[in-house]
Amino acid sequence: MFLDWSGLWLAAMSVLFVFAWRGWVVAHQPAHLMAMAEELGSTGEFSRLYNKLYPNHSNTCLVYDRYTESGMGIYFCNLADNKKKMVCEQPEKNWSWADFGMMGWSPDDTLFACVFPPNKPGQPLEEIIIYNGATGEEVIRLGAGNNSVRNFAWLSNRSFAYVYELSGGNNHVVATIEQKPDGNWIQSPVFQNIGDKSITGLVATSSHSIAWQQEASLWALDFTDGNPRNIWESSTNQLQSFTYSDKTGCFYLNCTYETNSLQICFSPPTQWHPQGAILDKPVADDKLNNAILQREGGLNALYVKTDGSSKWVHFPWQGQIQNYQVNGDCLYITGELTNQPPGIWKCDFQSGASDQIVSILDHPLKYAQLVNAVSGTFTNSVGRSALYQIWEPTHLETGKKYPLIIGQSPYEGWRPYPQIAANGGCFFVFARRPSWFEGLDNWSEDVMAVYDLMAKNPKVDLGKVYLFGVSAETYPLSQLLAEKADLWRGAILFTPGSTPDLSDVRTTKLLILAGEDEDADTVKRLIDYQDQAAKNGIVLNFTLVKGAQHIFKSSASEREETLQIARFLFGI
Amino acid sequence: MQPKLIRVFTGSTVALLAALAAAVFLCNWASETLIQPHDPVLLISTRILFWILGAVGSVLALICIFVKNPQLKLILILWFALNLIIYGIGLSWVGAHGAYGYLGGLADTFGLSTSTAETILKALFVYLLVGSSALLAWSWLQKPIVKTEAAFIKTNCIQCGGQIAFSPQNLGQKMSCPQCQSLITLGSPQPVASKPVAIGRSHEVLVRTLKISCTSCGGHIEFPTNFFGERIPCPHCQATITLQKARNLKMSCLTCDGRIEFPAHAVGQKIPCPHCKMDITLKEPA
Repeated sequence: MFLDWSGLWLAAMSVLFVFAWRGWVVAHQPAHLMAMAEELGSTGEFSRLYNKLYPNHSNTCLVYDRYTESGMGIYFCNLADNKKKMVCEQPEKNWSWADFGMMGWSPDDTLFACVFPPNKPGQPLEEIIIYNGATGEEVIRLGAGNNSVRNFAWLSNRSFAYVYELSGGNNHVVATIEQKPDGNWIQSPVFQNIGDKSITGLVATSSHSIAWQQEASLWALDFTDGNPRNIWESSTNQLQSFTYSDKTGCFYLNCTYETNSLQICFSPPTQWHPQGAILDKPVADDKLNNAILQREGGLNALYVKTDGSSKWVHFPWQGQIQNYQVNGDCLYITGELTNQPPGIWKCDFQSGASDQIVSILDHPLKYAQLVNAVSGTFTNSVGRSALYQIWEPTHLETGKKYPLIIGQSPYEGWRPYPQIAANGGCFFVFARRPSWFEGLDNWSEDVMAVYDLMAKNPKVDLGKVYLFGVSAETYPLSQLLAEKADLWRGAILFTPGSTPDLSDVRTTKLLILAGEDEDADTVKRLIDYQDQAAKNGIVLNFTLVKGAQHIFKSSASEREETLQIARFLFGI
Repeated sequence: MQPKLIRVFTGSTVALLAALAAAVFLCNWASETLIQPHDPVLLISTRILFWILGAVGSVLALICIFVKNPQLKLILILWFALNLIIYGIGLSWVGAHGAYGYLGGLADTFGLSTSTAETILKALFVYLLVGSSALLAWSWLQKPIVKTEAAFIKTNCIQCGGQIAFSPQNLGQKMSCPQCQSLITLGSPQPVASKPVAIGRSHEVLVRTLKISCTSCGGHIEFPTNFFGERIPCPHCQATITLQKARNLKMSCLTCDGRIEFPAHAVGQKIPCPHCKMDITLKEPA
């Protein structure tokens, strides 16, 4: 057979050359970048949207949620020996319309209950799962109903009441679950058709009576007579929320009157008064929100009121606070503390001890470096002052400039993507807004204000500035991308509700991540958008994250997010 | 000059195509988790398009390595380049702003800007197109001249000693000597050791010829023994070869184990064994 040896040799050499080139590109990226992205993205963070902390009454056990590889896990932690156990998991795949709900601890802390929405194909009912409060072992699993169970109250150590909606949502049912002396758990509906107004609270007022709020009215039901009674109807003072103290037997109503807030205390039916006793200050009540988060000069500080005390205690915190919960004399914080891995802390006001009880790092980071955000304040063009947080590159070199990523976010706490950006050599800045929708109108103004601040930093490469937006944030992002196209090198859009108009955009690079299981129209829209972008000469990195919907809810999805950001920013 | 140019061009094409194939395969592998845009011309994913491009590039590079016919190589390279140019025209026709938007993964994989990646690809395709078409045209224009210059073999009439020049393709043909009019045979279809003849009124002369295989392309060449040692262009591939005695090979009959000696160019032929008369296929000794 004819064989051109010189041709063969040339082909082999050129293939080797191409591989060597690729190797050279990888070698010139920040060391271990993909390993860092993998490591940071796999940490199993606390859910940003849901994250709540449920300590028992005696502060000896804690129930919390955290992402697992495939979904969200509910963990039980015995605070005495700090042993943790996942009691159940809601898989991200087929995640239904609702999240896990904690039904609280029984009064004697021997039991706690959770409600799970359907999360398996063919499973129409929500499930109530009752666990042993000392060990976290499952006691019993009960089908609860085919609609939202979100209102519940323990009536006694062995019974609780809950409300669920019948199909269609207009009819509500009050049911109880009780453990009989023979050990069996019996579920029995007590009352049906409370009304079509949504229920926003449910409390037990005795072992056989409950109360709840519907719009601005307060209702009570005694199981012995079975008829609900309207015990409060707002007239001038509009009921916003209420609590009930079993110690005093009083209802505390948080009301508004025009623009003023006031709290009203009353104790029906014997001490009924149309306006109750109007209180000018919040009263000590273990069910009231007795901690307030404030920011002082860009730093977090909590004002906490402990049990049996009317004094507010100032509690400074050198880091981010994702969530907090006061329980008796203890304060629980999910967040970050300078130079410590993110986690959950328990702060005991009696002893003054402050311990990290859960860390999101199961072992020390091998490749990446934890970067603490530095906070500051800014004022935007419409006069709104707010906080910004900046993650700086881990290894700043003199005379070198670094890319910048800017976004606006309502969330505090650990997220892997600012970390991978900083570890790879980028500035990442978030302007903070109060909540998901509040402040969203100022997205562009806030981002521009932060851009102007960062533009003064000589280490920022203004030729490589990227915008960052998630979901609804992508509407203002798309507008800003078009309005000030010259400023931006590109944009990162997660599960975008809107995409930039291609005729306006002169950016060279876009990254879009969406859930593979988002609705089919959205996925198709994004695929078509990518085709159009490519035709328009815009490079668009596009990924559909497997098993994820609009909101990513697993470590696997978070890791994919982090890896794609690393690829996008550093070209791996 | 021309064969050398063709060899240089096909050699460089092999290197470039191998590099292109490796590059697009690496790009597909590196951007495995990304969804690629649909190519607007062929309506397939850019990833599949890259696989096809890499596969065709690899096959073409292999053809250039394993096929001896330079014309065929050039035609295939031209075909490949033309396809790519037509694809580029198709992109413009469907309204795409060049291939820029489709090359992000390739650019990222090799740390290039997208415009640099696009420029490199364009340069490659233009090189293949211009190189293959120019060389094909040149070889087509040069072919007749090459034939007349390269194919002449000189000999002397054994009757009158006069010089006769003829093309190697005419070996074995009978013709009258232009000087003495004696009938001479320029070549013989018979084996190397043919009988010398001088018959009747006309003086027929049998020129002893030898057979060899071209060392470059393997094509068979028959030449008169008196051209021994001369360097001529191969009538098949134009490579310069030295006419020399064919190398004889030896093998044993698989049936009777009798020894058989045969010229190298007979490898692959089926003959009856001179000892046992069983059919055997001549093979190169191991």
